[in-house]
Order: sequence, then structure tokens, then C-alpha cells
Amino acid sequence: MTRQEATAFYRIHSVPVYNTALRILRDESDAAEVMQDTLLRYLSGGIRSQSPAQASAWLRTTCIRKAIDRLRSRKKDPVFLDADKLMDEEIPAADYDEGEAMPDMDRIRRAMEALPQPYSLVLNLSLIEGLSYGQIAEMTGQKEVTLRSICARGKQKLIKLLRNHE
Amino acid sequence: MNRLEDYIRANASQLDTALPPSEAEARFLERWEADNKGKRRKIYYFAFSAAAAVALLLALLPWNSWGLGNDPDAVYEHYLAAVADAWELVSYDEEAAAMLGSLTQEAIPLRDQLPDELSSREQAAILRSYYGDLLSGVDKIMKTVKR
Repeated sequence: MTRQEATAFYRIHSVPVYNTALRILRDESDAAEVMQDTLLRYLSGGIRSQSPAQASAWLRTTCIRKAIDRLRSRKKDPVFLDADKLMDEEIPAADYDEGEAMPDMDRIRRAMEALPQPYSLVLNLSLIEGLSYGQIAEMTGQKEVTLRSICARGKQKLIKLLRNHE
Repeated sequence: MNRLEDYIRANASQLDTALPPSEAEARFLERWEADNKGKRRKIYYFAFSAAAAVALLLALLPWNSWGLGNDPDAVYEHYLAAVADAWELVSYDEEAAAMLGSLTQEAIPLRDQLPDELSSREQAAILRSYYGDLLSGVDKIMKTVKR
């Protein structure tokens, strides 16, 4: 691969991979490092014969794994809440009604960023990255039941945040 | 909240709005080039080691197959050439060079000690056996060479 080809590869894939990492890590510098590690891993792995769609899927999954590893290594805050604590919280059921105007995606992005980490992480992986609970459980080491609970509560918190800013 | 959920899933790509820091591309290319240099160096080492191994293997084959026949001088010269190649490989590894020196240095080469009464065929056979053993030792030293 030439320098020119490497540059073209970077320009195609850097933005989606960077955004995936940024949503998980919430830190530009960490996200840039994870994005670079992911792209370099792909280029050095000799797996360049994949189709563009397969390449994107591989990059996304690898980026998520690397970002979660980095998140754990920070150890500032626990990534996941205690399952028992989650069960104690009350969740009012809510959704947007039929015909009700949906918030724009930028507002949703800001509301997701405002959620505490475990909710934001699981909602990101489930709703935006499209992973199943089984995949998230495998990546995070959490039980599926805990993840479902985090996700359900996270969705309600998200709706609350969105409604409060309407 | 299936409506909001479906809406987010359908529009997830609109969330990829952040751009990587401006210096990230240069840093990426720098790291890519460094990785490539390392990989090229590994390939050179591999090719170099493979070539050296083949050369030594060939040197250790029954020498008659090299057409050296029963010429003792040809056998001795062949040995010297193989040792010279080995010296080139160990030039940056002091420990291996010391071992190679003690194995191959002869105060008086066996070639010069063989009595003239022996036929060329007998001399060549003795030299093949003696220098063949030495070259197996050289081969073992080459496997320890640090690169």
C-alpha cells in the first residue's frame, strides 16, 4: 500500500470510526488514539481483501472493543452500575406518541452525552451501533439481564432529558 | 419507547458529525510509515536468514554432489568459502563470532598436514569428513546469531 492509498483509506474511514470511539469514550484525544489504533490494526492485519461493507463492520467492532478496553483502564468511575442499584430505581414508562414531532438528531446526541456513562454506553451500543444484548454482554463482561435493565432505564432517562428541553 | 428507538436507529448515521483533531491524519501517516518500516525490516531479516540457511544447507550436502569429486583442494576451498560466508553473518554478534573463531581457526590447516603418500581420493575423503563436521558446528552457531 502506498502513502497515497493509506491517506485515502484514512479519509474514508476516520470519521465514522472516530465518532464511534468518541461516543463511548467522551474524550477527543482518547477517541483519536483508538481511531488510529483501529485503522492501523486493519492495515497491518492483511485483511484488506474484504468488501467495503465488511471492512466498515470490522473497523466498527474493533473500535468498540478497543474503546471499551480503554474506558475500563481509566478506572475513574465504574463503567457499570451495580445491578442491585439499578433494580431499586423507579422507571416511569414513556415514549413519543404517534404523530408527535421527534426531536432532531443533534438534540438526541446532546441528551445521550448528558446521560451517566453506563446508560450512555449501553444505549450507544444498542441503538446507534446496532449490537445485540448478547454482543454487548460478550464485549463488556456484563450479564444480559443487567444490560437490558440499564438500557430500559437509560431510554427513560433519555426521554426525560429530551422532554425537559422541549 | 419503540418510536424513539426506531427513529434513532434509522438516523444513527447523522450522529457521525464530529471530525477527528486536525493533526490526527499526520500522526496516523507517521505511525503507518513506522509500522511499514518495521515490517520491511522483518521481511529483510527473514529473507537474509532464509538465504543464509540455504547457503549453509547447500554447503553441508555431500560434497561430491557439488562436483568436487576427489580433489582435496576443491574440498578445502569449498569449506573456506562457507566459513567466509558465516563470518559475514556474525560480524555484529560478538558471542557468535568468538564461537565461530574458536571452531574454525586452525594453527596448521588439516589440508597441509595430510601426508603426500595418501591418494587424492583418500585426502578428499578425510577432508570432507573433518570439514563437514566443522560446518555442522558452524550451522549450529548460525542458529544462535542475534539479529
